[in-house]
Amino acid sequence: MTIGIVCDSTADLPEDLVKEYGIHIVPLKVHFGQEEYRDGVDITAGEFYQKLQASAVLPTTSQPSPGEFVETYRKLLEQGIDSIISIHISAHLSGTHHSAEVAKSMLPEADIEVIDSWQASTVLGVLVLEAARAAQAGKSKAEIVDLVNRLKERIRVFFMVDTLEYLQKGGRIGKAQAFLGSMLNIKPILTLEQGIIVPAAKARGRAKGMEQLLTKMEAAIGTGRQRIMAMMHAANPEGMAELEKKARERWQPQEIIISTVGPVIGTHVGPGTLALIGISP
Amino acid sequence: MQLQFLEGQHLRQMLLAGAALLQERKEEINSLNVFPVPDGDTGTNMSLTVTAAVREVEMAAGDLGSIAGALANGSLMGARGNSGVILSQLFRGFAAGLEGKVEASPMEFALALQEGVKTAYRGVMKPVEGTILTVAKEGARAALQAARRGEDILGVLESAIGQAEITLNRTPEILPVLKEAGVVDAGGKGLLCIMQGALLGLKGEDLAALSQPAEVLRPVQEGVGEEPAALTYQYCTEFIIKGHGLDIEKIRLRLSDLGDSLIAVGTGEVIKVHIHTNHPGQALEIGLEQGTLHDVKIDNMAEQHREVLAANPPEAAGPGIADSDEVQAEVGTGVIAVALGEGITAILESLGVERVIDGGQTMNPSTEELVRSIENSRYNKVILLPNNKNVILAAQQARDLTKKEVLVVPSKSIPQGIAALLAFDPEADLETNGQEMTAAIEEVKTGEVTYAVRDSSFNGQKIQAGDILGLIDGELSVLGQEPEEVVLKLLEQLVEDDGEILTIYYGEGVSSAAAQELAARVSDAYPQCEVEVYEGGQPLYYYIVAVE
Repeated sequence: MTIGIVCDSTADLPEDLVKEYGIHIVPLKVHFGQEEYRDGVDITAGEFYQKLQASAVLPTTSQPSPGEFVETYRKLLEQGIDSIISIHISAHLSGTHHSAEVAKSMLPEADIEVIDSWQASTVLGVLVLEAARAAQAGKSKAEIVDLVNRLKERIRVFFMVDTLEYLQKGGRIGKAQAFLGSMLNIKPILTLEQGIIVPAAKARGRAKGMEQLLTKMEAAIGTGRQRIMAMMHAANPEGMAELEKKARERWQPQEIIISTVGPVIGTHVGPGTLALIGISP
Repeated sequence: MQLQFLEGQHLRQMLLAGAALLQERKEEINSLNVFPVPDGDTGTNMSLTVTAAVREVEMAAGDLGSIAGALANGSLMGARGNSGVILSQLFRGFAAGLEGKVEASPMEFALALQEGVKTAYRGVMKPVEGTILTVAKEGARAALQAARRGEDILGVLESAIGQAEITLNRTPEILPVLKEAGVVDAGGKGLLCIMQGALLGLKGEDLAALSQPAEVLRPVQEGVGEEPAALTYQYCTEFIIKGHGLDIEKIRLRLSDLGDSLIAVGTGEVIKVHIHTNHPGQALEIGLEQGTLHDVKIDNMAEQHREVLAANPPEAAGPGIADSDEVQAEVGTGVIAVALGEGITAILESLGVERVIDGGQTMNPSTEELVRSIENSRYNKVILLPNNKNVILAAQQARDLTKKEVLVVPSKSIPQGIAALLAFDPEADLETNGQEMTAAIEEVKTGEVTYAVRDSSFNGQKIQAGDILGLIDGELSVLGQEPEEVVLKLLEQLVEDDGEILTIYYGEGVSSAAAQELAARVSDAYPQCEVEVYEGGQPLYYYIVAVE
């Protein structure tokens, strides 16, 4: 029984892990005016942030069409895959999940499970990774689906954006709306709850913001040694290095996944973003 | 002159005169503030507190117990500043000692003074000797001894005053900061003034010399509190008008045709009216023209039967307290902060404060103002940020006077208030917010720059009026000649680590250019810190600096 793991490009997983576990990615699109790029295919994260800085217009994003999903699913089925597990960015944040559902309905004879991860970026990536590992280890489809559904309740992310502007303009600001208009230079610390962006804390300045990321994570996952943690940044390598150092000090995780925030997510959070991911016990 | 029994009319006289003398001496008392900072308000705060008490007393019935109760309630609601709150506690205990009485013997009078002292001590978490508390305590002790010796009311009061004066002069020996500053305790002096004025009033002496505080006492109230020989106007009519943009002068004008003993006090939102008239209905109609009517009382004075206005426990409230049964409050938590300065107010509101109370020039709102703000909040739970150590007691008193659930987070400065605000979680319960917000206060250090209002000395150094003072978390730390220099000197002591955020709020009178220039100098001096500048617009303090 071969199982194929499919996700979308918002999973922001490092290239090497994608290859190692044979994960199939359906790309979203980034639009700079009339120009259209497939996320991670036609434009890399690095290229994106450079272009973002130079561009007068703010980019927009769009989900893959059901047709694109159908194409991917069909190809896999033709290769001999028996079951497909398709795990995607929160349905509150993107229509991607919906497109996948539609594609599934167009292939009634296929065994496809579509899951709303409630997450985005590498948070989704970690779920996908664990699913792919389980598949490689020979777990059944039912076991993998169950694993993903349980993990998505336990996984936690706290992220700090430089400005709420991107989230606001992109329309995904969710409950962090309440933070808008603060006249001081407040760094909002945000999290995802059931797929929606929600405020977690406020801090004055970057140093305090980073402290808050760690403090909030500790409250969520405790201080014990961690099996796996992840973190990502958007054009903020110094911040990432510092966060990594601090996280290692605090939790000595056996595995740390370091990633960059890709173009699609980057459009919505903006450069400077730092995020920390952990799994609560 | 001998006075064997204290009656209502005597107490009333004592209070009016005590208030008048205090009003006259308030600037002198203000200048006794340990730190010669421009908001040394003990005199003003105590005067305002007593003034509020006098307003209540003027409208009360004539017997001793009622007047004492009005004294307690009025000062309770009008209490502002720590000294004002302690004074209101002294009055409260004193009033409790006279409850239900029509007259008091010298011993009962002395015992009531003792009650006042006990209540005041109970009301303060950490009583400090060498302050108004000590002066009151020893004055009351002397009063008791005089009563035991068989002295009359005047003798008891004179003994109390004599001892109070001795104790007041001793306060520099008890509190080193007083000695250093070369002053006696301001609160103690204020109390002494009240007592001295009271004695003069009782003796009927020198009333001409005591100026009538024009903005407080209404024109002579004939018939208030006395049993009139012939009743020109029969119905004692009292009510509260609530509305918006209420015009006190207009109301007064309209009512003045209807009778006498007219008193109308309040604000644009709440006015308390008292009038003796033969047409109470017309008086009420005039009130209805402006707003809604509440707490209406009409007494037929010919029946020699008066309802007492203020002989109840504090929850029954005084003038101006919104009736919280009227409007259903939303479930949730609102934050109310005390602050001054347009810029700071805007910042606080942008951070989620529901209402910023303007504390006035001295940043000290009265207990009543705080209670009213709490009642007017949309929410059923309220967090108070006093942002000034002199407001904390009044805030706690306000908390105990309202039916809503209130938490006072003990912020002593604007930076502390902002730090606490950042830790506020609208979804969390009061206890959690209390812990988080109070903890957040520990993370910030406050620097304040102002000017000396008088000569003084500090740490062996001489201060001249006009010198620039720098305070760290409320303690005098730095002296200088230029505000900007003092800011830099303060920062030397405040900044410890890299990566700290230095926030500068500049006050009214400081130009934006000067502030920006200072910020540039600070950035140069501390390249590893983030520096932010905001227009605070606060009076009296050139700069408020937050280091976190």
